[in-house]
Amino acid sequence: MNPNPKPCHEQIDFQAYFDQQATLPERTRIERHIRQCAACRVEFDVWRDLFARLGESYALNAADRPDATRLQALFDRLAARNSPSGIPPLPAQTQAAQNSVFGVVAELIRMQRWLAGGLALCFVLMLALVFRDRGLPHAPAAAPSDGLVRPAPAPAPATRGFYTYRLSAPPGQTLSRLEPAGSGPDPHDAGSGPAAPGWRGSAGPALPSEGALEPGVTYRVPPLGILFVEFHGENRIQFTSQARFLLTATGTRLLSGQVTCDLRSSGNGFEVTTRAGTVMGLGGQFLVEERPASSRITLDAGAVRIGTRRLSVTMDSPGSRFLMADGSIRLDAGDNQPRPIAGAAGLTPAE
Amino acid sequence: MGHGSGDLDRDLIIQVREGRTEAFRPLVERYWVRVRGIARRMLRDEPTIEDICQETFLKAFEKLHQFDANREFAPWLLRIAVNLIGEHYRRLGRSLRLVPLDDEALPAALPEPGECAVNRVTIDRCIEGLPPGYRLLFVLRHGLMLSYEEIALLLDEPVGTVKVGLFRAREQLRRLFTDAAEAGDEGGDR
Repeated sequence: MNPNPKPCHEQIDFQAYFDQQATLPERTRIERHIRQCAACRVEFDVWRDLFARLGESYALNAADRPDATRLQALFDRLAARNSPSGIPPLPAQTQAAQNSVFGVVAELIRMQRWLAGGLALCFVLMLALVFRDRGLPHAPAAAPSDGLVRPAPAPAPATRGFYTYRLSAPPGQTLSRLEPAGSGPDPHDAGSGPAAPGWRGSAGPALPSEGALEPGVTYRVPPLGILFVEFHGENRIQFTSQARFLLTATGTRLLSGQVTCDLRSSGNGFEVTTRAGTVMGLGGQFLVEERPASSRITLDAGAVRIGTRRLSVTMDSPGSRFLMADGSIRLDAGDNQPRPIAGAAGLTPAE
Repeated sequence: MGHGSGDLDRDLIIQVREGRTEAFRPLVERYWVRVRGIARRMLRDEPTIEDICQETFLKAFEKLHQFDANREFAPWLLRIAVNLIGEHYRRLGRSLRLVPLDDEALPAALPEPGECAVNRVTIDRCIEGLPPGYRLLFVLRHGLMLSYEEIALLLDEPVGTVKVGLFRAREQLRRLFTDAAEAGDEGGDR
């Protein structure tokens, strides 16, 4: 909790700000004020969090998508209702399509958009698996050439599924994909492992506010944006703080910003790789923040395995730790500063 | 709300009216996610959700000849879905109308003392305690990201009522978290 800052009597309509009802001058005034006023900054953060959670709770997701069975049930009912009412029935070929092997094929062709999407997804996943096994680019987690001590093998591959996203951001702010920009090292990456592809790229075209993310592509979240990502229908990830990241075959590589993971059993083994190490989720909720000289991990529930170039440990009690660039792990005693760890402090060597 | 797809919708609707009923399938595929998105957050059991979704499209198909093809399809379709959900609530003796929200609207949904973090589970629990009309407002605004004007049109309520309703409901949520945080601080358990 924040200490009680000095009360402020400025009239600020935080709801209008976050609900995109405030005018541009009003938004500018609010942003200027919260930079100077600690009390309003606290309030601002609470409202931002509340709006983010509301968006997350109500975001349309994979569970809302139609599947073939549901659609067929609907069209069966439609056909049944049509005949007696005089409305033209479904074409004969459609009804035949429901009753024969050839019909199934015809039906699949009719659903060519879904089929094409599925095939494309399979192709991307196969590529990701091949690259992962061969240690080629875009598969950093499987290519331990960066000297990191990897956690023990994942209980299950976590993310060989479909990443859907929804961006919550003020008007004019969009998710962008970074186009690769040569092979020069990034200044932030100095001495701490290989540069990720696309790390320093220029922003590509703006992406829609919802859709699917591709593995191996570097994305950037806009300044006031929250990117809600979902996979296997039940695992939720949020990228914030202008996060730059790419998705790999086993998780995500966080280049800057923050990621919050809320994982269910199907998400076990999801990895967040930073410059300082790797955090593997074992169910539960945790946050990873990429900082200039360290990565901060905050575990809220469940457990994570942490691997750095020197250590591989399990963290199974709530709290925060820092992964340092030198491979050590330090304690956050509540002041957001790395401190040496006395004793085990909630860390046990990974098996 | 049309997301730039108005022309395509119009073409499909004209085809359906001309008897090519298979053209209705792309419309279903396009709008199923929004209809189900509303139903899933307003209703509890899966069979009812599924039934509302199917009834929405069946009704839309039957009434398609009444639809003004120069207007957007999505608001018309979502209005059918909302009306069906409203009928379901009426059968249960409840209403989707935006009744005045008093301070006692969320007594059963209070976060645990000290539960000051605004987490998703707590938000879900709090919103569950809201009257159905307000839950619908949250679905339409935060889920489907409709404008106030679009929501007002869907619910047949003045825009001001929609604005005030959302404002008060969010204020209540905000206050709940403040109260819970203060209770936690006094209890000293965090």
